Amino acid sequence: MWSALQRVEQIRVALWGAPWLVAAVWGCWAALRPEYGLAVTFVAVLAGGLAWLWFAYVFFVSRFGAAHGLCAPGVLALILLWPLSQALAPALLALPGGYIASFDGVTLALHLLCLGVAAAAHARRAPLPAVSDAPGPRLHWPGLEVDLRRRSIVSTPPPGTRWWVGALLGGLASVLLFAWMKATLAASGQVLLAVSLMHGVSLYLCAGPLGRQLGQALRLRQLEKRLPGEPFRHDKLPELLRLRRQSWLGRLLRQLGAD
Amino acid sequence: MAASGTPYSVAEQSNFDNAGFFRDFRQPASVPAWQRGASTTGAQPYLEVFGSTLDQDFELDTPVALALIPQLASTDPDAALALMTVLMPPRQSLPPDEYFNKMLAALKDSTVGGGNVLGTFGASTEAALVAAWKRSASRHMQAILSGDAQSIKISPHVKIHAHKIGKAGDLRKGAQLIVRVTGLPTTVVRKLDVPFAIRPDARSYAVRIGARDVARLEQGATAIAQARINSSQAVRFAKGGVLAFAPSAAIDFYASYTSTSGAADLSKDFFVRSARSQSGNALALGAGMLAVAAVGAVGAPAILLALGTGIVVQAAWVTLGGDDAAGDLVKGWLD
Repeated sequence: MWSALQRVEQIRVALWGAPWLVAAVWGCWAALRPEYGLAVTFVAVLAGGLAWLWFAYVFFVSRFGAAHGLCAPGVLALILLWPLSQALAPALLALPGGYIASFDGVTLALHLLCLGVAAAAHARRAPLPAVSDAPGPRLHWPGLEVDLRRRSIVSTPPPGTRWWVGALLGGLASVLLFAWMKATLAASGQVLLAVSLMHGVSLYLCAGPLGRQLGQALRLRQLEKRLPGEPFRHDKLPELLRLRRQSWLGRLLRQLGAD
Repeated sequence: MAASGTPYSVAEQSNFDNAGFFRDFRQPASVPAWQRGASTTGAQPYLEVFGSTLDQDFELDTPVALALIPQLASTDPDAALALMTVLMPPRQSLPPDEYFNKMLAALKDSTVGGGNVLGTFGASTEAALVAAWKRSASRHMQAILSGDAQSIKISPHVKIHAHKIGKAGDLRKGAQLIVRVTGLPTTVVRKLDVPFAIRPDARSYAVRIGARDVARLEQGATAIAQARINSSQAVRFAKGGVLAFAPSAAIDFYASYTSTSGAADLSKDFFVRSARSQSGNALALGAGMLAVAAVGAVGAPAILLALGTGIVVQAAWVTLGGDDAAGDLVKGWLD
């Protein structure tokens, strides 16, 4: 989850909904690759479980500081974006088993390379104060402000609309687009377009927002090393802490801890 | 209700001049709003209605809120709902949940009841809408009561200030919520002794109001509900949903109509075809939203991610034979 804590309630939806999507996508990935010899159910349950663990960490533990920023882009690319892009590839290309594995490897490397290059580029746009300078109270990075005195980070600009508005718009557009694809394209054409589109979206996210989060997290880690003290945390963390306290799972864990 | 601030503008002076008349239409604050039935409201033979603006500070008591809510509902239903909610503390006479349930019950009939557009959404959407409104209103209320905010802006014209509520949310003696209204377009209603009257400045006019018993809370709730229907993003998206899902339905209907199975099996054929196509559509919509929530996307990346995910999920659904399985399932139910 990037732009740490833009919308706190989004995290709860991710915790309870996203593992199902991850499980389904990885199940589809395994179903279309029988040459790997992996049981579909096993892959789906494992992927869903790992995804739940990640989102549980995000919901219950993360401070949305540098450590979170260093992990989140790679995890999201691995558990969701790459499999979404690549799952259908065998239906498109009738390749022998070994070639499919190579194709998977190449696309995975491409995603990670894109993320790494983007992180390096975005890190250059998030300068640190020179060592000799007395640090100012605030650093202004693209989409992020770092308050050195309070050791907090603030996402800028603040979100304007409800988080699900864009998601719903995109979802509805996908229904219309797929209706058009079904009417005009053969099955292989539909898959080709779907795979190409998702690879494009995924690489755009890696090069854009996810790369930026990774690059800025690297800078933030450098800052923490230079200015020892408490790790940086997001200014919306108190809101999440309140949500953590109110959640039934949080209450249950506290109760178990008290016992 | 306490006024403050001088000198007064023309609009403010007008509000003061009419304050006495305004008060006539309110119930005593001691009677909880939800306990007032239509019969408890005094009958008014003739009412004069004219526009003005409101610029004053009030103690946030029941009469003030009930007078403001219908005005606010037409411009900002969320703010009206928040105002109805913050009306409760710190002098609440019912537990928060019970208050909410009564308020939402009043809203529900005119927004998510069976006989209107939203009724077609079904029970799950109704529950989601109610939960969303409740959360939105709760957030405002909790912010001010917990001391996180000393004032909250609920619309361009209305702010609520906490008076003698500490940072940690402790209520000191005399704690109250003050509503500060500036430039709110307001409809002033006052009683007339004769059916029609012309004011000397000829700007206002008098109308006869047929409804003699005005239950203000219900009126407010209805106004909010109507405003919500007109302005709600959910309703707009419902229309968008119809536009998105309708082409598939139209294609399915045409295919059923022209299929060799004949007109006798038209509806059955249509249901089976719909299960094939709409199951993928629904999955795409849900998967897109989950992907956006998982990645934490906002703005354009959210739209693109939902679009890409939706297309992939639908293609996968067709490739793996999910659409045929859904169609066969429905066919099995109908046979």
